Amino acid sequence: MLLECKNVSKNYGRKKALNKVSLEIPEGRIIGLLGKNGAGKSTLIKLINDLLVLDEGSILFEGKPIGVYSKEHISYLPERTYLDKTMKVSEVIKLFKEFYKDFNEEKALKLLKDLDLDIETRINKMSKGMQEKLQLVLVMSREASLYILDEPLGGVDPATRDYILDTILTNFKEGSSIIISTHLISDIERILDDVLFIDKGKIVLSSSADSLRKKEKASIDEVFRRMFKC
Amino acid sequence: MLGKLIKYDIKWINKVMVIYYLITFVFCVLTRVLSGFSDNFFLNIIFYAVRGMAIACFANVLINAIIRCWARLHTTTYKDESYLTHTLPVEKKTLYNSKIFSSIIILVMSLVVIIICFLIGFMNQGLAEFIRDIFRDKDLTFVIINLVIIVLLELIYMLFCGIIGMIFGHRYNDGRVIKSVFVGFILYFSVQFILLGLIYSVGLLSTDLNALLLNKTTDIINPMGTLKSFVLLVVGVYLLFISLMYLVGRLMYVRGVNVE
Repeated sequence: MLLECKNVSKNYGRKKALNKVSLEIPEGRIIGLLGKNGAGKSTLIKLINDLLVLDEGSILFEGKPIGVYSKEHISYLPERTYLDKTMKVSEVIKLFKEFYKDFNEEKALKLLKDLDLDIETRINKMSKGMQEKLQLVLVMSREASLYILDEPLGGVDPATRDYILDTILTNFKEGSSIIISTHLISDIERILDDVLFIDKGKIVLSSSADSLRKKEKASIDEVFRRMFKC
Repeated sequence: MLGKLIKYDIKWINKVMVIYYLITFVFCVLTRVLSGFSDNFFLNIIFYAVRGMAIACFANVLINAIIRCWARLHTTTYKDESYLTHTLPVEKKTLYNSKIFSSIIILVMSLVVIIICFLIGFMNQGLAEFIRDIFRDKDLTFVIINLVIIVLLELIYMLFCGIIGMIFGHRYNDGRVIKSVFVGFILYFSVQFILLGLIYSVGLLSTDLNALLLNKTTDIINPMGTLKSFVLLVVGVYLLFISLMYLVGRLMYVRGVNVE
């Protein structure tokens, strides 16, 4: 098993963000982590990436606790721009090359060329959309075992959504898994192998995408809407 | 990995510090140039203004060096850039060490810049003679060098108070900034009092040191020896507290952080 979460809990003060969440992520799957805003998707992803301290439970990557080994093999795209904006694109590429053994510089340069992005441009001179694309290129240029993409489609136009999905699908390492967290289900449901529905800090449904569609005789988007109707 | 992290930290901090170093340098050069026109009334007024600015720049360099180091820790540990920092395949203690070592390097660098700029702007025959006299006397040289070390240790100690305050304050979900500042201040003043008490207690065991602390210098049998012991004691106590604060900070940092 690539990733195992066992009884994971996280509180923000009195608010329970995650409540004894258990899940397993096998190799070679594209998994949609789906839930409303504030359901606990980002908290779970942050815990997997060592950005928050666990209150309870354990998270294992290939049987090892989250740490240097997992970070060498997990490529993470956060929902915000995390690069030093005073740096040039070429400097960021150098940084990734220095720290990540699995970073494929050639692939990154090719993808940036496709975007018509001059690598001597400073990040603070780029539009927000372009900064997000740069981050996606950096993340997908790693030969990782697990890609975790937190809201990669949030706040972008439909054309950019297509670019993002295309970049993800054509660049991830064969045999690796992808976790995509989003509430924009209709845009990504065609690429999903499995779905995890999360609500109020709990996994409420875990299924393969095809069997769910067959069982409910509806698209995943429709199932989601029915389940979380306000 | 530690070297690479330090390189990126220093580069980030120095993007601003280099500007302050240059401004300080320019004012010190102007002070030196204008000091040669003391007989001209207007140039003399400008000289005093520029000299004042040069001295203000010294304080500015030190204050900003500490603030930039804190800002680096804050942005890369808790703000947006922390999403990259904590997902680098590097141990937490290495991340912590990089912040600490890069900050100390910046403080040393700032102190060196200040000393060089001071010599450029303020060196005159009287001062040169004074420095020569100091270096002729081995004991005095020892005391002066240790006083410079104490200034550096005080800066490092202030830096650590801020760092520990920040790490402690950010363990909470609400009011992180206020808690960070509060803990930092409390730590600074409480350790200062402990430090004074500790030095005074040690002073009670030595008649000469006691006389020095109570400003009864005429009662001291061996003044230079006592002064040497005193500065060594202060250096030792500072090192002890800084080491303790380093370990506490590391322990808290390694336990993990909650990014914003």
